[in-house]
Amino acid sequence: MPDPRLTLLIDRFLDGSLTHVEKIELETELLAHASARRQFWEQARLHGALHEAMQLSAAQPALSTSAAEPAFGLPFWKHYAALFLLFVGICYWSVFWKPANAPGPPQQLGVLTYRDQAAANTFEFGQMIHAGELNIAKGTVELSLFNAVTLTVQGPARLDLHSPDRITLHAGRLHARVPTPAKGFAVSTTAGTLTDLGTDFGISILADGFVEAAVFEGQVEVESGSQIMILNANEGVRLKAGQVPEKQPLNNGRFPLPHEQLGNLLVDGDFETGTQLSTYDIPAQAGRWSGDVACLASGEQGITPHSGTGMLQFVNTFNHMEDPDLEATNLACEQWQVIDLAAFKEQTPGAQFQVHAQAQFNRAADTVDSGFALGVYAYDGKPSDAHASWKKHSLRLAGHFKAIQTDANPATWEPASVRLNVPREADFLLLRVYAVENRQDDPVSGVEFGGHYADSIQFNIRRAPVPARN
Amino acid sequence: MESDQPISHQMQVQQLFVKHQGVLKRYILSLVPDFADADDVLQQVFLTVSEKADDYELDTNFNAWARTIARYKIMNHWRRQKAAPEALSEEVLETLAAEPPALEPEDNSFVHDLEACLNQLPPTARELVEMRYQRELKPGAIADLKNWTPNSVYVALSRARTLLRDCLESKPATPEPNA
Repeated sequence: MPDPRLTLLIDRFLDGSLTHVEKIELETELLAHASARRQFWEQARLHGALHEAMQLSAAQPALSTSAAEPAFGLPFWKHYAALFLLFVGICYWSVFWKPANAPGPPQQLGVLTYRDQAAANTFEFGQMIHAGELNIAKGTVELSLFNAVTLTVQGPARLDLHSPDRITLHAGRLHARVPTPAKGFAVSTTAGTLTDLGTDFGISILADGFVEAAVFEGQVEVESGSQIMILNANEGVRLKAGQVPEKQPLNNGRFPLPHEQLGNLLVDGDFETGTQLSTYDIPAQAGRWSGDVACLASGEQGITPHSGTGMLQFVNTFNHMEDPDLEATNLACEQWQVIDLAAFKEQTPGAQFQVHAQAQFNRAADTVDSGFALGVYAYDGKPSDAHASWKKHSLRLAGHFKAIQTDANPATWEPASVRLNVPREADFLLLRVYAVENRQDDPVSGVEFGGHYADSIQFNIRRAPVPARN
Repeated sequence: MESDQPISHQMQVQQLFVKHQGVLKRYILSLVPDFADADDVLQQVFLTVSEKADDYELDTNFNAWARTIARYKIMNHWRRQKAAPEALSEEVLETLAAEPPALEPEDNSFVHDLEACLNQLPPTARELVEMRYQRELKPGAIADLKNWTPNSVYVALSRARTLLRDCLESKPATPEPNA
């Protein structure tokens, strides 16, 4: 039976919260008793395994559908499984779907592609969504229907899913993103029906029996009692059974926002002509590369750029800001870029962001150094303090890197990728791309890397769905 | 530069690192519990494994060899951080490291068992575990978000881990790895 006091002390060590007195108590126990040390290892083992298991779980609602290499050798199998289900479902639905009044088992209408922390206990990423009632007690989920409609639903909510193109919203708030092929998608409420005319729109059921709706893009037909009206982009409407619909200005905060790919935030990730490349350590501002000695290259040593006409060539393990005495201890040639999150945080306060960075690496046939790596690290504060933040490890909010080793075949580029759930308090991110020496044996006065390249670096950021603010 | 012979060997060693880095990370997290610091130590291990690849004989126990390197890197980490309030003394760390747990099986069965146990946690405990290990929040930050006291978070997290250990103990024992 584990000692409960010792259990708590070890847990406090693992959580970084030991007080001075507790630390002395824990150290005394660990030095005195083999059983205490066994208990320590048992608890510590769980700490490491929990991190691995939860990071694997975090990768499930992944950023994009682009081909990606598993991080740390762990496959994002559930993500792929969900996409596979979605694909199979689309095929199945297009062949076999019949109106909901046809007899038979519940129709499979789509797949759940996101759920936040609050909904995590009720919904599984990748679970199939069937026709029928859907209750969301709390949290926000995103459903990808097989007709390509995306529904972002915020609980508490209750829906009846009749078919992929018709639902009833009894309670809660939703955002519907309807692509052109699914035009005609309709949402019924107690106060009226909204029929999409190719659009993004939101609906919110209020506690007082009113229904608010708004169009973000395109048009929606609103039918309430005997009234029919067209709602255009940036217009809202307030409905209640038996009352005349009342148009009102769009209020974004009333509706959940769907996930959004914010695109590739990296500047000059293709290293084409004109790319700014400095050799003065970590940059103090976003939008340019800086780091150790490196240069731009076009095709050479049998290697052609992965994309375009230029690529990054790693040269030395030091930069021109470093103490020359320390140069000989360096093992990696690094280039950095700062990514400022301020604009995104201002646009959607409280939003959760996820990053997917990718890079391609290659080296010449007669080279020995075979390691490359890619890292993404999150910090709060000002991007101008990036260098100081990097040097002080305790300031890092989160970070992951992916190390790979490459073959010496100039014809093949090897990819590396990193995913990171960005902590909400992060203000900027650091991207680090580097080549690693196998042996620290090269004179720093010459070229340490004789043909090492990176190209096609991408830094895609995705905003997770955001609940309504008011 | 050097002949072709070491290239193949070094590449194989680095491949082994990539294959075993999950197990190594878990070992490092045992003694360097902060996730970002553990990443740094793992990276140092990678650099040294690359540098000393010639010292490793293929077909011997890579995990044991890499863990020895990790142990030195962990000690170096804490020497640099010895003023940190959470730093255990070198004597304690050496004593712990001298009696390490059995090497982890390569099939990741422990993590898989753990995933099954996570699904059995009560909702609040699961949420706390996700905040701590998925979002990598420190207990103080969790307390702020949940509007709890930090002590409540420590205690609740400790209880969640106890539930998970109880669940794992109820599962059939995993055989010792051959390596």
